[in-house]
Amino acid sequence: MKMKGSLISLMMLIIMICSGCGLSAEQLIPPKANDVLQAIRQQDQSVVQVQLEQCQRSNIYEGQESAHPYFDLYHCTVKVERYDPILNQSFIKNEIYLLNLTTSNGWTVGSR
Amino acid sequence: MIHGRILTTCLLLPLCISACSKQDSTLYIPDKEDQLSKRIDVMANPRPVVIAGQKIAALHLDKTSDESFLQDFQNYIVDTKGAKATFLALRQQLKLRPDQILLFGVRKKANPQIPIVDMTNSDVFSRANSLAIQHLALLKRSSIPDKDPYETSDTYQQRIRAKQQQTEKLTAKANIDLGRIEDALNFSNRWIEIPDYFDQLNRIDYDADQALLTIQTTAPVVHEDDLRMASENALIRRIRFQVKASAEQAKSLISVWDNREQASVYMAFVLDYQTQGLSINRIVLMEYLGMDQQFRVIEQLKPQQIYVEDIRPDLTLVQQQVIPLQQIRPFQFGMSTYAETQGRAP
Repeated sequence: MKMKGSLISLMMLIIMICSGCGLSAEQLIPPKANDVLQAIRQQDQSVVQVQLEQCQRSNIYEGQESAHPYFDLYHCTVKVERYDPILNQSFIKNEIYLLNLTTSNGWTVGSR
Repeated sequence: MIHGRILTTCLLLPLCISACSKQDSTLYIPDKEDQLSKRIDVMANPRPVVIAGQKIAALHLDKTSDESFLQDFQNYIVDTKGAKATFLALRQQLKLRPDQILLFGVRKKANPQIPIVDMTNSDVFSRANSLAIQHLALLKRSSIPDKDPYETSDTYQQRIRAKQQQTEKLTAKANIDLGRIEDALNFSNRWIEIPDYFDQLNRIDYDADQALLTIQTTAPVVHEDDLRMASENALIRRIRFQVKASAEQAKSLISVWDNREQASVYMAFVLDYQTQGLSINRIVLMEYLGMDQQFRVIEQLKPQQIYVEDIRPDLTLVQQQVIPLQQIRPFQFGMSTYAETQGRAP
């Protein structure tokens, strides 16, 4: 009986630790480089490749119960390569994009 | 038992501390394999290079060049949402090869100084050749920065040289490919329209006995009612062609005019490009769908020839030119043709 009790308290402790450390089971999988490429190309077809450096997740309801991952925004630092058909050359530029996951279009780019 | 609890606590506490003190949970650094995206192959269907960029120098931009027109052309080329995007969507609908040109004429009626697509002579190609060359010459010309009153002449000259070198580096690989020639052709011409109601000048007829469809329009559009007001010496350009068609095909085509309300129908040409010249492959009739600026292809027709006629208001024929399809019309894009054209310019 005592053994069972300690096992339950151990499991509860692990759940508490996990939820306390923000490891919510509902958390989104952050965008990958291919997602970012697809999202940027929806607006700019000259982009040929991207290198995703990092993303910072934010949620306007952070810390509240209504902080659903649906409201997650990712500020991503991206190295973007564009091909200019007029100059017949590619150009690389560091840029920051705001990405969010939509139900209809997948990852989409918001305002930069 | 107490020992057991102490042991559990001792084990879990460092785990808890290390888990919570780990990196910021809102910061995500992708794994190595998720950092680099796939690469889009921009060279998958390259358009043929028509004029090598090295042959064009910045100096070729002479005083007769209209810089604002060139700037408008540049805006047209780079606009990914306007007329150019609509045009590219149309190319995709038609499944054109990289060596084919869609000659449509993107300029609207609002620009009467821009000529309507005219296939009776090579001027249509000469103007596109000049526009494409002058556009690249404009790109190659470095803008001269203003002199700072506090900088020495030497520093200023160095700054000018640096700017020139930067422009040279940027434009070093630029060529004129068939896409740019196509842009120039379309930008320097207005489209041919088939009006929304038929009369003696603009009509589509079907001869069921011969299974022959006749399509006729005027460019610019002139209606029968306008003839009474026209001067007796006025010349009206009539474009006409005939094509074999089944009764079903003809019925379906003519029904477009019966069913549409205010949408306009336009006539475009698919041209095959070869180094020695161009030939008309087919005629495309398309309908403008309005607000979203999209076109729907109605029919693609391959008549043997197109008749271009100049007529008087009393319908007497002044001149008739016959343009055969599938036949090479010699034309050489490039600097030598450009030089000849410039020599002809007043």
